[in-house]
Amino acid sequence: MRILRDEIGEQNSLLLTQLPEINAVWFEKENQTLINLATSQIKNDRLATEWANISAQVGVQLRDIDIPVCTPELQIPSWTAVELVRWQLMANVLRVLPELERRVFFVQCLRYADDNEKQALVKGLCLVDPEGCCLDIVLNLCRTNNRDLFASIAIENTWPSEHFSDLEFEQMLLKSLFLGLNINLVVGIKHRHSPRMSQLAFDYLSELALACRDWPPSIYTSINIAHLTVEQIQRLEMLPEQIKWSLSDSIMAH
Amino acid sequence: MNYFDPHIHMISRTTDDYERMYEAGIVGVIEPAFWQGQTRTSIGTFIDYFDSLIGWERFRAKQFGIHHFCTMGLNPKEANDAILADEVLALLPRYLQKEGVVAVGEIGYDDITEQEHYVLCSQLELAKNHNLPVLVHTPHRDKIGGTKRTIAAIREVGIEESLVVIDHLNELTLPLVMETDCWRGHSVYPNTKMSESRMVSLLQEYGTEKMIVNSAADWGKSDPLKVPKTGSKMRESGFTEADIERVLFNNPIDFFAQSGRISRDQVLQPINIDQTKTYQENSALRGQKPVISNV
Repeated sequence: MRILRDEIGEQNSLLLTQLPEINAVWFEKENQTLINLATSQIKNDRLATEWANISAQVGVQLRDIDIPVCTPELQIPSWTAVELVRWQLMANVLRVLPELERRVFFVQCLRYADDNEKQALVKGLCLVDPEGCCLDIVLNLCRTNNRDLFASIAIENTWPSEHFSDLEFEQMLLKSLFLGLNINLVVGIKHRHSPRMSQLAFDYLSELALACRDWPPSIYTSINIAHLTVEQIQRLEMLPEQIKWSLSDSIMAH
Repeated sequence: MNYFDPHIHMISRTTDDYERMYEAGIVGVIEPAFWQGQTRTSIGTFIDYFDSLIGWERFRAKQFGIHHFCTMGLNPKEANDAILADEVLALLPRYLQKEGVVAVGEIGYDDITEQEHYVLCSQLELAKNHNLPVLVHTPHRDKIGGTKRTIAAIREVGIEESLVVIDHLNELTLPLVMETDCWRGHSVYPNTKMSESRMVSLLQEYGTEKMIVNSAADWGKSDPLKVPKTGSKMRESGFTEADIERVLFNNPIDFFAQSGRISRDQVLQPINIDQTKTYQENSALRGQKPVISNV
Protein backbone atom coordinates (compact mmCIF):
# COMPACT_ATOMS: atom_id res chain seq x y z
CA MET A 1 0.00 0.00 0.00
CA ARG A 2 1.76 3.10 -1.22
CA ILE A 3 1.38 6.29 0.77
CA LEU A 4 2.31 9.93 0.14
CA ARG A 5 5.07 10.08 2.76
CA ASP A 6 6.20 13.64 2.21
CA GLU A 7 2.70 15.06 2.31
CA ILE A 8 1.89 13.15 5.49
CA GLY A 9 5.06 14.54 7.03
CA GLU A 10 4.19 18.09 6.01
CA GLN A 11 0.73 17.69 7.47
CA ASN A 12 2.25 16.52 10.73
CA SER A 13 4.48 19.60 10.92
CA LEU A 14 1.55 21.87 10.25
CA LEU A 15 -0.55 20.17 12.92
CA LEU A 16 2.14 20.74 15.54
CA THR A 17 2.10 24.47 14.85
CA GLN A 18 -1.65 24.60 15.33
CA LEU A 19 -2.12 22.61 18.52
CA PRO A 20 -1.87 24.40 21.87
CA GLU A 21 1.48 23.57 23.43
CA ILE A 22 0.17 21.21 26.07
CA ASN A 23 -1.71 19.19 23.47
CA ALA A 24 1.22 19.25 21.07
CA VAL A 25 3.48 17.78 23.78
CA TRP A 26 0.93 15.08 24.49
CA PHE A 27 0.55 14.31 20.78
CA GLU A 28 4.31 14.01 20.23
CA LYS A 29 4.66 11.69 23.20
CA GLU A 30 1.88 9.37 22.09
CA ASN A 31 3.04 9.56 18.51
CA GLN A 32 6.51 8.43 19.57
CA THR A 33 5.02 5.57 21.55
CA LEU A 34 3.32 4.30 18.42
CA ILE A 35 6.39 4.84 16.24
CA ASN A 36 8.55 2.91 18.69
CA LEU A 37 6.10 0.03 18.70
CA ALA A 38 5.84 0.06 14.93
CA THR A 39 9.60 -0.11 14.49
CA SER A 40 9.99 -2.81 17.11
CA GLN A 41 8.25 -5.28 14.83
CA ILE A 42 5.40 -6.16 17.16
CA LYS A 43 2.42 -7.79 15.59
CA ASN A 44 0.06 -5.49 13.70
CA ASP A 45 -2.82 -6.52 15.90
CA ARG A 46 -1.15 -5.15 19.02
CA LEU A 47 -0.07 -2.03 17.20
CA ALA A 48 -3.63 -1.37 16.05
CA THR A 49 -4.87 -1.93 19.59
CA GLU A 50 -2.38 0.67 20.83
CA TRP A 51 -3.56 3.10 18.18
CA ALA A 52 -7.15 2.49 19.27
CA ASN A 53 -6.29 3.09 22.93
CA ILE A 54 -4.54 6.34 22.13
CA SER A 55 -7.28 7.36 19.71
CA ALA A 56 -9.81 6.99 22.49
CA GLN A 57 -7.70 9.31 24.66
CA VAL A 58 -7.54 11.86 21.86
CA GLY A 59 -11.22 12.43 22.35
CA VAL A 60 -10.62 13.29 25.98
CA GLN A 61 -7.39 15.27 25.52
CA LEU A 62 -8.68 17.48 22.75
CA ARG A 63 -12.29 17.65 23.81
CA ASP A 64 -12.28 21.38 24.42
CA ILE A 65 -10.08 22.30 21.50
CA ASP A 66 -11.80 24.34 18.90
CA ILE A 67 -9.00 25.33 16.56
CA PRO A 68 -9.43 26.06 12.86
CA VAL A 69 -7.61 23.08 11.47
CA CYS A 70 -5.83 23.76 8.26
CA THR A 71 -5.12 20.88 5.96
CA PRO A 72 -3.81 22.21 2.66
CA GLU A 73 -2.50 18.82 1.63
CA LEU A 74 -5.70 17.08 2.44
CA GLN A 75 -7.85 19.92 1.11
CA ILE A 76 -10.67 19.02 3.40
CA PRO A 77 -12.29 21.95 5.11
CA SER A 78 -14.37 20.02 7.58
CA TRP A 79 -11.87 18.33 9.92
CA THR A 80 -12.11 18.67 13.65
CA ALA A 81 -8.92 18.75 15.71
CA VAL A 82 -9.81 15.36 17.20
CA GLU A 83 -10.25 13.81 13.77
CA LEU A 84 -7.03 15.23 12.43
CA VAL A 85 -4.97 14.07 15.39
CA ARG A 86 -6.42 10.55 15.19
CA TRP A 87 -5.71 10.36 11.51
CA GLN A 88 -2.20 11.81 11.86
CA LEU A 89 -1.27 9.25 14.53
CA MET A 90 -2.33 6.42 12.21
CA ALA A 91 -0.71 7.99 9.14
CA ASN A 92 2.60 8.50 10.97
CA VAL A 93 2.67 4.78 11.78
CA LEU A 94 2.08 3.97 8.13
CA ARG A 95 5.14 6.05 7.27
CA VAL A 96 7.40 3.76 9.25
CA LEU A 97 5.79 0.43 8.41
CA PRO A 98 7.00 -1.70 5.50
CA GLU A 99 4.76 -1.28 2.49
CA LEU A 100 3.45 -4.83 2.73
CA GLU A 101 2.23 -4.34 6.30
CA ARG A 102 0.43 -1.06 5.86
CA ARG A 103 -2.90 -2.30 4.59
CA VAL A 104 -3.24 -4.87 7.36
CA PHE A 105 -2.55 -2.22 9.99
CA PHE A 106 -5.00 0.24 8.42
CA VAL A 107 -7.73 -2.38 8.20
CA GLN A 108 -7.22 -3.36 11.81
CA CYS A 109 -7.41 0.24 12.94
CA LEU A 110 -10.72 0.48 11.13
CA ARG A 111 -11.88 -2.69 12.79
CA TYR A 112 -11.17 -1.36 16.26
CA ALA A 113 -12.43 2.12 15.52
CA ASP A 114 -15.86 3.34 16.54
CA ASP A 115 -17.79 5.34 13.98
CA ASN A 116 -16.28 8.67 15.02
CA GLU A 117 -12.79 7.25 14.67
CA LYS A 118 -13.63 5.66 11.32
CA GLN A 119 -14.69 9.09 10.07
CA ALA A 120 -11.26 10.42 10.87
CA LEU A 121 -9.47 7.58 9.12
CA VAL A 122 -11.39 7.74 5.86
CA LYS A 123 -11.21 11.50 5.50
CA GLY A 124 -7.48 11.29 4.81
CA LEU A 125 -7.58 8.38 2.35
CA CYS A 126 -6.11 10.46 -0.47
CA LEU A 127 -2.74 10.58 1.33
CA VAL A 128 -2.63 7.08 2.81
CA ASP A 129 -4.11 5.19 -0.12
CA PRO A 130 -3.58 7.15 -3.35
CA GLU A 131 -3.79 3.95 -5.40
CA GLY A 132 -7.09 2.65 -4.07
CA CYS A 133 -5.94 -0.55 -2.35
CA CYS A 134 -8.71 -0.27 0.19
CA LEU A 135 -11.59 -0.04 -2.24
CA ASP A 136 -13.41 -3.09 -0.89
CA ILE A 137 -13.14 -1.80 2.66
CA VAL A 138 -14.39 1.67 1.80
CA LEU A 139 -17.29 0.26 -0.20
CA ASN A 140 -18.22 -1.79 2.84
CA LEU A 141 -18.05 1.30 5.02
CA CYS A 142 -20.41 3.04 2.61
CA ARG A 143 -23.08 0.58 3.72
CA THR A 144 -23.26 2.34 7.08
CA ASN A 145 -26.49 3.99 8.15
CA ASN A 146 -24.50 6.51 10.16
CA ARG A 147 -24.99 9.72 8.20
CA ASP A 148 -21.83 11.38 9.49
CA LEU A 149 -19.66 8.38 8.70
CA PHE A 150 -21.11 8.10 5.23
CA ALA A 151 -20.62 11.82 4.69
CA SER A 152 -16.96 11.55 5.63
CA ILE A 153 -16.53 9.30 2.57
CA ALA A 154 -18.95 10.92 0.17
CA ILE A 155 -18.69 14.62 0.88
CA GLU A 156 -15.63 16.81 0.25
CA ASN A 157 -13.49 13.70 -0.21
CA THR A 158 -11.51 13.25 -3.41
CA TRP A 159 -10.95 9.54 -2.96
CA PRO A 160 -14.25 8.07 -4.25
CA SER A 161 -14.19 10.04 -7.49
CA GLU A 162 -10.69 8.67 -8.15
CA HIS A 163 -11.33 5.03 -7.30
CA PHE A 164 -15.03 4.15 -7.40
CA SER A 165 -16.40 2.56 -10.54
CA ASP A 166 -19.28 4.29 -12.29
CA LEU A 167 -21.79 2.01 -10.57
CA GLU A 168 -20.22 2.55 -7.17
CA PHE A 169 -20.08 6.31 -7.63
CA GLU A 170 -23.70 6.38 -8.73
CA GLN A 171 -24.77 4.39 -5.68
CA MET A 172 -22.80 6.71 -3.42
CA LEU A 173 -24.45 9.72 -4.97
CA LEU A 174 -27.90 8.17 -4.66
CA LYS A 175 -27.30 7.36 -1.02
CA SER A 176 -26.05 10.90 -0.44
CA LEU A 177 -29.37 12.18 -1.74
CA PHE A 178 -31.25 9.63 0.32
CA LEU A 179 -29.48 10.79 3.46
CA GLY A 180 -30.23 14.41 2.68
CA LEU A 181 -26.62 15.42 2.05
CA ASN A 182 -25.70 18.31 -0.19
CA ILE A 183 -24.39 16.62 -3.31
CA ASN A 184 -22.92 19.88 -4.58
CA LEU A 185 -20.15 19.00 -2.13
CA VAL A 186 -19.47 15.58 -3.70
CA VAL A 187 -16.05 15.90 -5.30
CA GLY A 188 -16.01 14.88 -8.94
CA ILE A 189 -19.74 15.01 -9.48
CA LYS A 190 -19.33 16.96 -12.70
CA HIS A 191 -16.66 14.86 -14.41
CA ARG A 192 -18.13 11.55 -13.13
CA HIS A 193 -21.66 12.45 -14.17
CA SER A 194 -23.40 9.82 -16.30
CA PRO A 195 -26.80 9.30 -17.97
CA ARG A 196 -27.58 6.56 -15.48
CA MET A 197 -26.94 8.96 -12.64
CA SER A 198 -29.49 11.35 -14.07
CA GLN A 199 -32.01 8.52 -14.41
CA LEU A 200 -31.48 7.17 -10.88
CA ALA A 201 -31.75 10.62 -9.34
CA PHE A 202 -34.85 11.41 -11.37
CA ASP A 203 -36.52 8.18 -10.23
CA TYR A 204 -35.76 9.10 -6.65
CA LEU A 205 -37.08 12.63 -7.19
CA SER A 206 -40.25 11.16 -8.71
CA GLU A 207 -40.82 8.90 -5.71
CA LEU A 208 -40.47 11.78 -3.31
CA ALA A 209 -42.71 14.04 -5.36
CA LEU A 210 -45.44 11.40 -5.70
CA ALA A 211 -45.28 10.82 -1.94
CA CYS A 212 -45.62 14.60 -1.39
CA ARG A 213 -42.30 14.71 0.44
CA ASP A 214 -39.59 17.32 0.27
CA TRP A 215 -36.53 16.65 -1.82
CA PRO A 216 -32.99 17.96 -1.38
CA PRO A 217 -32.52 21.08 -3.56
CA SER A 218 -29.12 19.80 -4.69
CA ILE A 219 -30.78 16.85 -6.44
CA TYR A 220 -31.08 18.92 -9.60
CA THR A 221 -27.29 18.99 -9.85
CA SER A 222 -27.38 15.28 -10.61
CA ILE A 223 -30.09 15.34 -13.29
CA ASN A 224 -29.53 16.26 -16.89
CA ILE A 225 -32.92 16.21 -18.58
CA ALA A 226 -31.29 15.15 -21.83
CA HIS A 227 -30.36 11.83 -20.18
CA LEU A 228 -33.88 10.87 -19.14
CA THR A 229 -35.66 7.95 -20.79
CA VAL A 230 -38.87 8.33 -22.77
CA GLU A 231 -40.85 6.87 -19.87
CA GLN A 232 -39.24 9.33 -17.47
CA ILE A 233 -40.02 12.29 -19.72
CA GLN A 234 -43.64 11.13 -19.81
CA ARG A 235 -43.63 10.81 -16.04
CA LEU A 236 -42.34 14.37 -15.75
CA GLU A 237 -45.78 15.51 -16.86
CA MET A 238 -47.29 13.97 -13.70
CA LEU A 239 -44.89 15.73 -11.38
CA PRO A 240 -45.17 19.24 -9.90
CA GLU A 241 -44.43 22.09 -12.31
CA GLN A 242 -41.54 23.35 -10.22
CA ILE A 243 -39.62 20.19 -11.10
CA LYS A 244 -39.88 20.90 -14.80
CA TRP A 245 -38.73 24.45 -14.27
CA SER A 246 -35.88 23.43 -12.02
CA LEU A 247 -34.71 20.80 -14.48
CA SER A 248 -34.82 23.35 -17.28
CA ASP A 249 -32.63 25.59 -15.17
CA SER A 250 -30.26 22.71 -14.56
CA ILE A 251 -29.77 22.34 -18.33
CA MET A 252 -28.10 25.73 -18.23
CA ALA A 253 -25.82 24.48 -15.46
CA HIS A 254 -24.94 21.30 -17.34
CA MET B 1 -63.41 -6.42 12.01
CA ASN B 2 -60.38 -8.64 12.43
CA TYR B 3 -57.06 -7.50 11.02
CA PHE B 4 -53.83 -9.27 10.23
CA ASP B 5 -50.44 -7.58 9.96
CA PRO B 6 -48.17 -9.74 7.81
CA HIS B 7 -44.99 -7.70 8.28
CA ILE B 8 -44.13 -6.30 11.69
CA HIS B 9 -40.99 -6.59 13.80
CA MET B 10 -42.47 -7.21 17.22
CA ILE B 11 -39.16 -7.94 18.88
CA SER B 12 -38.60 -4.19 18.88
CA ARG B 13 -42.07 -3.33 20.17
CA THR B 14 -43.39 -3.20 23.74
CA THR B 15 -46.25 -5.03 25.42
CA ASP B 16 -48.14 -1.74 25.24
CA ASP B 17 -48.08 -2.20 21.48
CA TYR B 18 -49.43 -5.71 21.77
CA GLU B 19 -52.28 -4.47 23.96
CA ARG B 20 -53.12 -1.62 21.59
CA MET B 21 -52.94 -3.92 18.58
CA TYR B 22 -55.30 -6.40 20.19
CA GLU B 23 -57.74 -3.65 21.11
CA ALA B 24 -57.61 -2.36 17.53
CA GLY B 25 -58.62 -5.77 16.21
CA ILE B 26 -55.30 -7.24 15.13
CA VAL B 27 -55.57 -10.97 15.82
CA GLY B 28 -52.43 -12.20 14.10
CA VAL B 29 -49.02 -11.06 12.87
CA ILE B 30 -46.12 -12.32 10.84
CA GLU B 31 -42.70 -11.23 11.97
CA PRO B 32 -40.01 -11.45 9.29
CA ALA B 33 -36.42 -12.07 10.33
CA PHE B 34 -34.68 -8.71 10.19
CA TRP B 35 -31.48 -6.85 10.97
CA GLN B 36 -31.11 -5.21 14.34
CA GLY B 37 -30.12 -1.67 13.38
CA GLN B 38 -26.46 -2.51 13.04
CA THR B 39 -24.97 -5.57 11.40
CA ARG B 40 -24.48 -8.76 13.30
CA THR B 41 -20.95 -10.07 13.33
CA SER B 42 -21.20 -13.74 14.21
CA ILE B 43 -23.42 -16.74 13.55
CA GLY B 44 -24.30 -17.14 17.21
CA THR B 45 -26.29 -13.92 17.20
CA PHE B 46 -28.37 -15.22 14.30
CA ILE B 47 -29.07 -18.49 16.10
CA ASP B 48 -30.20 -16.65 19.22
CA TYR B 49 -32.36 -14.28 17.20
CA PHE B 50 -33.98 -17.01 15.13
CA ASP B 51 -34.68 -18.99 18.29
CA SER B 52 -36.38 -15.97 19.83
CA LEU B 53 -38.66 -15.58 16.80
CA ILE B 54 -40.04 -19.08 17.20
CA GLY B 55 -39.79 -19.09 20.98
CA TRP B 56 -40.06 -16.11 23.27
CA GLU B 57 -41.72 -13.72 20.79
CA ARG B 58 -44.36 -16.28 19.80
CA PHE B 59 -45.09 -16.80 23.48
CA ARG B 60 -45.15 -13.08 24.24
CA ALA B 61 -47.68 -12.38 21.46
CA LYS B 62 -49.93 -15.14 22.68
CA GLN B 63 -49.93 -13.65 26.16
CA PHE B 64 -51.78 -10.69 24.63
CA GLY B 65 -54.15 -12.66 22.47
CA ILE B 66 -52.30 -12.38 19.17
CA HIS B 67 -51.30 -15.27 16.92
CA HIS B 68 -47.63 -14.97 15.97
CA PHE B 69 -45.92 -16.45 12.94
CA CYS B 70 -42.59 -15.61 11.41
CA THR B 71 -40.44 -15.86 8.32
CA MET B 72 -36.80 -16.84 8.34
CA GLY B 73 -34.03 -15.50 6.16
CA LEU B 74 -30.91 -13.40 5.82
CA ASN B 75 -31.89 -9.82 5.15
CA PRO B 76 -30.06 -7.85 2.47
CA LYS B 77 -28.49 -5.43 4.96
CA GLU B 78 -26.43 -8.31 6.32
CA ALA B 79 -25.84 -10.17 3.10
CA ASN B 80 -22.59 -8.48 2.11
CA ASP B 81 -20.41 -10.23 4.70
CA ALA B 82 -19.75 -13.21 2.46
CA ILE B 83 -18.36 -15.58 5.07
CA LEU B 84 -21.09 -14.90 7.60
CA ALA B 85 -23.74 -15.03 4.88
CA ASP B 86 -22.70 -18.55 3.93
CA GLU B 87 -22.91 -19.61 7.55
CA VAL B 88 -26.44 -18.25 7.83
CA LEU B 89 -27.51 -19.87 4.56
CA ALA B 90 -26.28 -23.20 5.93
CA LEU B 91 -28.23 -22.61 9.15
CA LEU B 92 -31.56 -21.66 7.55
CA PRO B 93 -32.84 -25.11 6.46
CA ARG B 94 -33.10 -26.14 10.12
CA TYR B 95 -35.33 -23.16 10.91
CA LEU B 96 -37.42 -23.35 7.75
CA GLN B 97 -38.89 -26.59 9.03
CA LYS B 98 -40.13 -25.16 12.30
CA GLU B 99 -43.79 -24.76 13.19
CA GLY B 100 -44.88 -21.19 12.79
CA VAL B 101 -42.34 -20.41 10.07
CA VAL B 102 -44.55 -19.52 7.13
CA ALA B 103 -42.07 -18.24 4.54
CA VAL B 104 -38.52 -17.38 3.62
CA GLY B 105 -37.92 -13.68 4.26
CA GLU B 106 -37.43 -10.89 4.34
CA ILE B 107 -34.86 -11.13 1.58
CA GLY B 108 -33.94 -8.97 -1.37
CA TYR B 109 -31.54 -6.21 -2.32
CA ASP B 110 -30.16 -3.29 -0.38
CA ASP B 111 -27.20 -1.86 -2.31
CA ILE B 112 -27.87 -4.25 -5.19
CA THR B 113 -24.43 -5.87 -5.12
CA GLU B 114 -23.42 -9.17 -6.69
CA GLN B 115 -23.06 -10.69 -3.23
CA GLU B 116 -26.63 -9.64 -2.38
CA HIS B 117 -27.80 -11.21 -5.62
CA TYR B 118 -26.11 -14.48 -4.74
CA VAL B 119 -27.71 -14.50 -1.27
CA LEU B 120 -31.14 -13.61 -2.67
CA CYS B 121 -31.02 -16.36 -5.29
CA SER B 122 -29.74 -18.89 -2.74
CA GLN B 123 -32.71 -18.18 -0.51
CA LEU B 124 -35.17 -18.31 -3.40
CA GLU B 125 -33.77 -21.79 -4.07
CA LEU B 126 -34.24 -22.71 -0.42
CA ALA B 127 -37.86 -21.61 -0.63
CA LYS B 128 -38.34 -23.73 -3.73
CA ASN B 129 -36.83 -26.77 -2.03
CA HIS B 130 -38.91 -26.31 1.12
CA ASN B 131 -42.14 -25.47 -0.74
CA LEU B 132 -42.41 -22.19 1.09
CA PRO B 133 -43.58 -18.78 -0.07
CA VAL B 134 -41.16 -15.84 -0.06
CA LEU B 135 -41.31 -12.31 1.30
CA VAL B 136 -39.09 -9.95 -0.69
CA HIS B 137 -38.06 -6.49 0.42
CA THR B 138 -37.48 -3.85 -2.27
CA PRO B 139 -34.57 -1.49 -1.65
CA HIS B 140 -34.84 2.02 -0.26
CA ARG B 141 -32.67 3.45 -3.04
CA ASP B 142 -32.94 2.66 -6.75
CA LYS B 143 -36.32 1.15 -5.97
CA ILE B 144 -37.34 0.78 -9.57
CA GLY B 145 -34.05 -0.86 -10.55
CA GLY B 146 -34.19 -3.08 -7.48
CA THR B 147 -37.74 -4.21 -8.21
CA LYS B 148 -36.83 -5.04 -11.81
CA ARG B 149 -33.81 -7.02 -10.65
CA THR B 150 -35.96 -8.78 -8.06
CA ILE B 151 -38.40 -9.91 -10.72
CA ALA B 152 -35.49 -11.02 -12.88
CA ALA B 153 -34.01 -13.02 -9.98
CA ILE B 154 -37.35 -14.73 -9.32
CA ARG B 155 -37.49 -15.77 -12.97
CA GLU B 156 -33.84 -16.77 -13.00
CA VAL B 157 -34.36 -19.17 -10.09
CA GLY B 158 -37.68 -20.37 -11.46
CA ILE B 159 -39.78 -20.18 -8.30
CA GLU B 160 -43.52 -19.78 -8.96
CA GLU B 161 -44.30 -16.08 -9.00
CA SER B 162 -47.51 -16.69 -7.08
CA LEU B 163 -45.35 -17.89 -4.20
CA VAL B 164 -43.64 -14.51 -3.89
CA VAL B 165 -44.83 -11.27 -2.32
CA ILE B 166 -42.78 -8.24 -3.33
CA ASP B 167 -43.09 -5.74 -0.52
CA HIS B 168 -42.68 -2.02 0.14
CA LEU B 169 -44.19 -1.15 -3.24
CA ASN B 170 -45.18 2.36 -4.24
CA GLU B 171 -46.73 4.24 -7.16
CA LEU B 172 -43.73 3.59 -9.38
CA THR B 173 -42.96 -0.02 -8.52
CA LEU B 174 -46.45 -1.49 -8.18
CA PRO B 175 -47.09 -1.33 -11.95
CA LEU B 176 -43.96 -3.43 -12.49
CA VAL B 177 -45.21 -6.15 -10.15
CA MET B 178 -48.72 -6.01 -11.61
CA GLU B 179 -47.22 -7.48 -14.78
CA THR B 180 -46.27 -10.63 -12.86
CA ASP B 181 -48.13 -13.22 -10.79
CA CYS B 182 -46.40 -12.07 -7.64
CA TRP B 183 -48.39 -10.69 -4.72
CA ARG B 184 -48.19 -7.00 -4.04
CA GLY B 185 -47.04 -5.86 -0.59
CA HIS B 186 -47.26 -2.31 0.74
CA SER B 187 -45.92 -0.93 3.99
CA VAL B 188 -47.79 1.95 5.56
CA TYR B 189 -44.92 3.50 7.47
CA PRO B 190 -44.56 7.16 8.46
CA ASN B 191 -42.44 9.36 6.18
CA THR B 192 -40.38 6.77 4.41
CA LYS B 193 -42.94 4.43 2.84
CA MET B 194 -46.68 4.55 2.06
CA SER B 195 -49.39 6.54 3.78
CA GLU B 196 -53.00 5.41 4.32
CA SER B 197 -54.38 7.83 1.75
CA ARG B 198 -51.84 6.85 -0.89
CA MET B 199 -52.58 3.21 -0.19
CA VAL B 200 -56.28 3.82 -0.74
CA SER B 201 -55.49 5.57 -4.02
CA LEU B 202 -53.55 2.53 -5.19
CA LEU B 203 -56.39 0.21 -4.21
CA GLN B 204 -58.85 2.40 -6.09
CA GLU B 205 -56.67 2.36 -9.17
CA TYR B 206 -55.48 -1.24 -9.18
CA GLY B 207 -58.16 -3.15 -7.26
CA THR B 208 -57.82 -5.48 -4.31
CA GLU B 209 -56.64 -8.68 -5.92
CA LYS B 210 -53.38 -9.94 -4.39
CA MET B 211 -52.94 -6.64 -2.59
CA ILE B 212 -51.40 -6.87 0.86
CA VAL B 213 -50.90 -4.11 3.42
CA ASN B 214 -48.65 -4.13 6.47
CA SER B 215 -47.15 -1.70 8.94
CA ALA B 216 -43.52 -2.94 8.78
CA ALA B 217 -43.29 -1.38 12.26
CA ASP B 218 -39.86 -1.85 13.77
CA TRP B 219 -37.35 -0.16 16.06
CA GLY B 220 -37.71 3.08 14.09
CA LYS B 221 -40.39 5.74 14.44
CA SER B 222 -43.27 3.62 13.16
CA ASP B 223 -46.86 2.70 14.02
CA PRO B 224 -48.07 -0.85 14.72
CA LEU B 225 -51.66 0.23 14.14
CA LYS B 226 -51.25 1.19 10.49
CA VAL B 227 -53.22 -1.81 9.25
CA PRO B 228 -56.46 -0.95 11.11
CA LYS B 229 -55.85 2.73 10.30
CA THR B 230 -55.69 1.81 6.62
CA GLY B 231 -58.96 -0.04 7.14
CA SER B 232 -60.53 3.13 8.51
CA LYS B 233 -59.26 5.10 5.56
CA MET B 234 -60.65 2.50 3.15
CA ARG B 235 -64.00 2.69 4.88
CA GLU B 236 -64.05 6.48 4.65
CA SER B 237 -63.25 6.20 0.96
CA GLY B 238 -66.20 3.96 0.23
CA PHE B 239 -64.68 0.49 0.26
CA THR B 240 -67.05 -2.20 1.56
CA GLU B 241 -66.40 -4.25 4.68
CA ALA B 242 -65.81 -7.22 2.39
CA ASP B 243 -63.11 -5.29 0.50
CA ILE B 244 -61.44 -4.28 3.73
CA GLU B 245 -61.53 -7.81 5.05
CA ARG B 246 -60.13 -9.07 1.77
CA VAL B 247 -57.12 -6.76 1.75
CA LEU B 248 -56.40 -6.57 5.46
CA PHE B 249 -57.17 -10.13 6.55
CA ASN B 250 -57.87 -12.69 3.82
CA ASN B 251 -55.16 -11.74 1.32
CA PRO B 252 -52.15 -11.85 3.65
CA ILE B 253 -53.27 -15.08 5.30
CA ASP B 254 -54.11 -16.74 2.00
CA PHE B 255 -50.71 -15.84 0.61
CA PHE B 256 -48.79 -17.29 3.55
CA ALA B 257 -51.21 -20.24 3.79
CA GLN B 258 -49.33 -21.60 0.79
CA SER B 259 -46.83 -22.77 3.39
CA GLY B 260 -49.43 -25.12 4.88
CA ARG B 261 -48.67 -23.68 8.31
CA ILE B 262 -51.30 -20.95 8.68
CA SER B 263 -54.98 -20.62 7.79
CA ARG B 264 -57.83 -18.21 8.24
CA ASP B 265 -59.57 -20.62 10.61
CA GLN B 266 -56.47 -20.88 12.73
CA VAL B 267 -56.04 -17.14 13.01
CA LEU B 268 -59.73 -16.62 13.74
CA GLN B 269 -59.52 -19.01 16.65
CA PRO B 270 -59.42 -16.79 19.75
CA ILE B 271 -56.52 -17.39 22.08
CA ASN B 272 -57.12 -18.31 25.67
CA ILE B 273 -54.94 -15.70 27.33
CA ASP B 274 -53.23 -16.97 30.44
CA GLN B 275 -50.64 -14.56 31.71
CA THR B 276 -49.73 -16.83 34.60
CA LYS B 277 -47.82 -18.94 32.12
CA THR B 278 -44.12 -18.56 31.61
CA TYR B 279 -41.66 -19.34 28.84
CA GLN B 280 -38.45 -20.89 30.10
CA GLU B 281 -39.51 -19.56 33.51
CA ASN B 282 -39.79 -16.03 32.15
CA SER B 283 -43.01 -14.03 32.23
CA ALA B 284 -44.03 -11.06 30.09
CA LEU B 285 -45.35 -9.41 33.24
CA ARG B 286 -43.41 -7.44 35.80
CA GLY B 287 -45.68 -7.46 38.79
CA GLN B 288 -48.93 -6.71 36.98
CA LYS B 289 -52.01 -8.76 37.76
CA PRO B 290 -52.15 -11.60 35.22
CA VAL B 291 -55.04 -11.63 32.77
CA ILE B 292 -56.76 -14.94 32.22
CA SER B 293 -59.50 -15.14 29.63
CA ASN B 294 -61.32 -18.26 28.64
CA VAL B 295 -62.85 -17.91 25.19
